Amino acid sequence: MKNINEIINKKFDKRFDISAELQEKLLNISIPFSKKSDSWRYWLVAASILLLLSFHLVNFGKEDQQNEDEIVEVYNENWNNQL
Amino acid sequence: MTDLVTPLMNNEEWAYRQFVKEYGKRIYNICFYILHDPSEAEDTTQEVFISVFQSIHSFRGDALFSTWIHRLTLNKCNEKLRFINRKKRKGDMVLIEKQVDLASQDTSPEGLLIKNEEIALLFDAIRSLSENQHIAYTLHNMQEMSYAEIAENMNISVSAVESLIFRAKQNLKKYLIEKLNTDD
Repeated sequence: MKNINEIINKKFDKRFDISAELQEKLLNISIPFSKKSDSWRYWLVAASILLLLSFHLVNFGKEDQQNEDEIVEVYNENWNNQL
Repeated sequence: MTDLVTPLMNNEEWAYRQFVKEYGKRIYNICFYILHDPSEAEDTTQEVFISVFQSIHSFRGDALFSTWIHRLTLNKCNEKLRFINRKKRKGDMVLIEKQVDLASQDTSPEGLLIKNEEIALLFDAIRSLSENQHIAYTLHNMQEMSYAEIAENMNISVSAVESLIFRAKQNLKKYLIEKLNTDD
């Protein structure tokens, strides 16, 4: 009787690793459901746009400043000439 | 444990990999100890994973994610047990023959486990139980879950779990006394 009680109260404490084959199968199951993480593509596009924009703004500012300087120079020259 | 629900719902590939890593072994071991057959356990584990991926959008967060996974696993195991028991009742012995073959597989951990005579005898006895007794007793003996957790995972009350395990032990005792007396 003692033996029977021992058998009944036996604990299933051993844990088995899944085989590499099963692991592969489980990963393959997810493929039709999954999508590649593509957030990096959005970041790349956003960064490129920002870069282009900043170049454009810098050049645009420079050109304006240059034009302004030229106008002031011409005005000063004319003023000097008039004097 | 990382929150995998949202990334799984968003079909993020890394979340699937993480999910397989975190739950693969646990689900396989539950299936193995309930079904007593490594190849059936592998098939059922795959079925559980397919179910998870198909129905992750229906997870509403009423229970813990792990509880939801365990419920899916136990449902699949229950279906499989019913199928096996129906086959046995019909006299189809294919699954039982498969069990005997396992004893010769020294190299596999499952084979070694089944080589253990007491475990083999206990597995035989467990297979004579009703599906609910079989599952409740196995989860209890796996020491993975408390009575409350078993109740939550089987979607029954704690007192029902206690009663199932108590009756399972009585039935196992009866089966083993009969079996051991016959063998002597």
